[in-house]
Amino acid sequence: MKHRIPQIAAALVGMAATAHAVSPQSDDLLLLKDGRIVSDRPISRDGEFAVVTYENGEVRVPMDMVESLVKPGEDWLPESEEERKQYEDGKVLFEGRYVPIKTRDREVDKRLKAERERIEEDRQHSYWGKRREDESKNFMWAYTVPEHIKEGFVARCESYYTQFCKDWKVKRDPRKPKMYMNFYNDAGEFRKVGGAGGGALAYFMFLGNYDLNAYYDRLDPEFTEMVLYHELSHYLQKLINEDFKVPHWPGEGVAEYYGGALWNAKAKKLDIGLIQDGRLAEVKNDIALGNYMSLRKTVTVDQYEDYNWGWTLVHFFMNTKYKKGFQKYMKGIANDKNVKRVPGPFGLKTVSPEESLRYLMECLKVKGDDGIDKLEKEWHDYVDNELQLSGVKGLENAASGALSLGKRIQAKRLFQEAIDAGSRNPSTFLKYAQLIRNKDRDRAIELLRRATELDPITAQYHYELGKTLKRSGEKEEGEKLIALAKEMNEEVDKNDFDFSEVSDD
Amino acid sequence: MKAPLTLALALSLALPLASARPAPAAAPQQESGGMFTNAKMGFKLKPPKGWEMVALKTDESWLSCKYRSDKSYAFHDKDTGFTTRHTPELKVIAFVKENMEDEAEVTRDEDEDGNKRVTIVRKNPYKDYDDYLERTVSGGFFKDDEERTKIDGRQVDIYTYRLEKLSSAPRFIRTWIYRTDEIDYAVQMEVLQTEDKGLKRTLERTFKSFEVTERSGEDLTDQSGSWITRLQMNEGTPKERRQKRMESEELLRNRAKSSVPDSWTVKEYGDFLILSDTDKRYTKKIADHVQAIMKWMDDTFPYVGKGEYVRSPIVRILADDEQWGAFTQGSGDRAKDGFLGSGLEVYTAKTSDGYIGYSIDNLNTSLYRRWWGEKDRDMYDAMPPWLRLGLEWVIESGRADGRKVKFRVSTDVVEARTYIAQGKGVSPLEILRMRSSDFSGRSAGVKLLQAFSFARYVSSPEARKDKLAKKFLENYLTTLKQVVNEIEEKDKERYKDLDRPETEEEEDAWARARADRRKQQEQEIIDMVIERAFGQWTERDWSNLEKSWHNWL
Repeated sequence: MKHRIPQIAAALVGMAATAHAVSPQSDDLLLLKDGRIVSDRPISRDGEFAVVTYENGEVRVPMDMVESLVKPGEDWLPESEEERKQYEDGKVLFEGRYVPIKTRDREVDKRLKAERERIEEDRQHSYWGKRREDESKNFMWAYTVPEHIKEGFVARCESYYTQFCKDWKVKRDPRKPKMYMNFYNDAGEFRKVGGAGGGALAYFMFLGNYDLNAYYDRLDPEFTEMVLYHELSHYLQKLINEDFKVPHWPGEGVAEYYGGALWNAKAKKLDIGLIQDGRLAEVKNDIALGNYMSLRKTVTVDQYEDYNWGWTLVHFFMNTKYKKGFQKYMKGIANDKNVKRVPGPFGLKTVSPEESLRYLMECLKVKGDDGIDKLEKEWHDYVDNELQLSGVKGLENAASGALSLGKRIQAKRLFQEAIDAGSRNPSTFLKYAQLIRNKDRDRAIELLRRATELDPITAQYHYELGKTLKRSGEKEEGEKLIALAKEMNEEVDKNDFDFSEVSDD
Repeated sequence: MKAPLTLALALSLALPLASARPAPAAAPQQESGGMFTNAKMGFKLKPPKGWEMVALKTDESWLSCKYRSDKSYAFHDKDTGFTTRHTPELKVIAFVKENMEDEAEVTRDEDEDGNKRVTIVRKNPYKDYDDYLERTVSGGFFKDDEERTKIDGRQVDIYTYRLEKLSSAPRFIRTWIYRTDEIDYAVQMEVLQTEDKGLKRTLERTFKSFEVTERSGEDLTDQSGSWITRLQMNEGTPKERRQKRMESEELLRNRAKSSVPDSWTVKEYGDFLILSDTDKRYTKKIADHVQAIMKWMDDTFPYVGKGEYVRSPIVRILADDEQWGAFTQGSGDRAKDGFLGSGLEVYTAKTSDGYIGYSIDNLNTSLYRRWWGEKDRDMYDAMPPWLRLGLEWVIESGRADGRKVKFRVSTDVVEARTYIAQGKGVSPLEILRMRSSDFSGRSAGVKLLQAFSFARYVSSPEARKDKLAKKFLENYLTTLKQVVNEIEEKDKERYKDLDRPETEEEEDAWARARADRRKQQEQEIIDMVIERAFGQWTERDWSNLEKSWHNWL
């Protein structure tokens, strides 16, 4: 007699399952920790991997990426002597003890049903038309991300709110509706529903009842966290005075400063004012080209550099003797009676660039042009000496920055250092492979294989590996991988044209 | 040493030269007895009573009909205090299944200098209705509801989309998609959410009036395939270029003529083709205006692109603001004039602000850019911002007065007068020495507006009467082009024989040198142009030029 064992997150059941035969349809479901769902394909468990079977090959997903694997109908036979003996008595090992088969089946069925329902529910709510809504202490949430992902961000955003309000002595008006945090499942859904332009990562609508829109970047959850904090900071800056439009700098500088925060799960608190590696890489690139930003320009001209140089200026103020003065400026520029405010956009008040600079210097107790020059020098020294790229992320960003400047030798070294330091970011492996693949194909293949291991269900990595293998003469394997990638995502090669003839890579 | 390499991409912009096909992309539309019929696509429907048909763009391959309500509705946003008006719309979009394959044609060849070149031409059709919305709706939207039903045995999918985030007003798009083997017909109606209830019966009646009919048998494949790309028109000898441009002109004119609704006027005015949905008098006024503007361009810059053939524009005149709004949004922009594309149509409308209004300003700018694009794109690109934008301001403010062009008193003139009176005047030499970075920052406006007014002066007929000003622009522009070409050639040579860096130090030095070079280059161009074009000028000459400009102001 064979007994059906539904498999829930295999860890629950704790035994290997035999692979299914390939069939076009399957009820198997795989939910990854990053929120992605794989379905309609046979999925089996093989040791530390969940194996998704496509027509053109198998994809092995490490179980540590798996939130849940749901497999109805598995046959199981006892393996050890003890298991066989108990089995003859109608009992099976379940969660460390022998229980009647019926009891085990009932319990497993119950859990399976609940798990399937949870995954199905996540999937059904992954479109904005079927979004879920929820309320936390200070925000309303509308979301299409899986429930467990939203929960994690609720805790972070509430903690961030508390910290910011404490630092700046502000709070939301309880008579007004809570702001909506619109949290989308992916970038495509965010752009389509949120209506933001191609390059936007998130936005805060500062009119009416306010509205924050952001998406979950499953490849980089930390980045998602920082983007959310950045936009949230704009909302919280509004709370200083809701009728005031904060000038571009310091608005973006402060948003980036508070965007450089991460949830410390152990201490259950936020670490604020961390290094924004991407921004710092841009600044260091400017410096490498001999371009230091002027303080006067930062304060008086609205420019892209408010995000990177502007952030360093806020970081400098917030971590030196100027902290108090800068906080006084931030609050006073919106509220101080001695500041000359002028009508700004959308019926809001604002200040002229000249007044902003004057008041900043007054708050920092800096006098005259010489004083500004001296302050600028202190700031530049701080950027040179105190702000350093570090860690895996820093190395990855520095490598990408070097690449954008055409510094390929430096980029190669930095990518390698990021990998040596423990990078698990598949796009780092991909970029590095693309950089070297015409000159060191074997190494590129090695890197791309690693990318497919780190993120086995993203078609692009299989596709790039297939292409590189084909170019290196391994036509059969290459074509098979390309076919697999197209099966996983039929548009994977949509914008891929062969420029090898005209490229000097 | 590797040969210099170039990469020419024309993604999603144009289609390859193919044999000319006579059929228009968008077929003429017919109305009879309150019914709209499109025999080519094989459908008919009854638009709501009083709604007005909107013309389709020449290059429209998807939209098969478009109507706008005769009534517009207001939406007041209590949160922001803004009020917006919206006019309900009806569209039928035909998804011919045969045309929905994304095709890319890749050609590999060499350019005139022997550089290897890959050209990619993409058709980039819509994948499905959702994709169509994503690429044509401005602001955010999402599908709120869907249901499937059968009408006359045919599958019909009924969708409701909400347009809310970053949208001027919350709207619904309600769509019924009638599915057939060859074509999916999306009947789409857009209304304000606040008006949806009141218009519900009107919408339902229209949706239900849709009928699939026998097709007239015309080829349904995408007829927008015959194009001569900008690249093709800019290659070869002047004679070859002329030939290609004339071919393009004929092709586009024929297509435009055969795609306009029957009620429109199609007329050749001199070299121009006019497609008009307004009265004869206004049409004539615009035709005269276009002729005068083009003549002004030829007369003011006779030294630019001598012998280059400039295709005559196709001027489309829409009836009013509403038509302008309805016509210009959505798909089918390949026929429209643009720097990168090869289209030829320029649009204007008889808008509520009349002949002095924005739609003529826009028309002038389009004509200006088109003229430069075909006469001498390199010279246009070489112009510093103060001059390129300054001349754009000039032309924008021009209106035909008989065969001549008169220019209204523009902001730059008014502001320049004020700044000069306040002692904040900028001299002509200072204007010539301005770098791109001078146009940002606190005092950018002061300099820029004076520079614009200077551009206005040196391009004016009055300047032609002044000894120093009359040849100023010609000297400046011709020298500028020479200098830019020389510097580019010199730089190419300079970098050609340099070894590729092999260490990080060499790479750093290389990157820094290139960045420094970019900064130097701008200064070098400024200095060389001033030296070569005006090296003989004395301080007194500069002072006299300034005086004549100020007097003109």
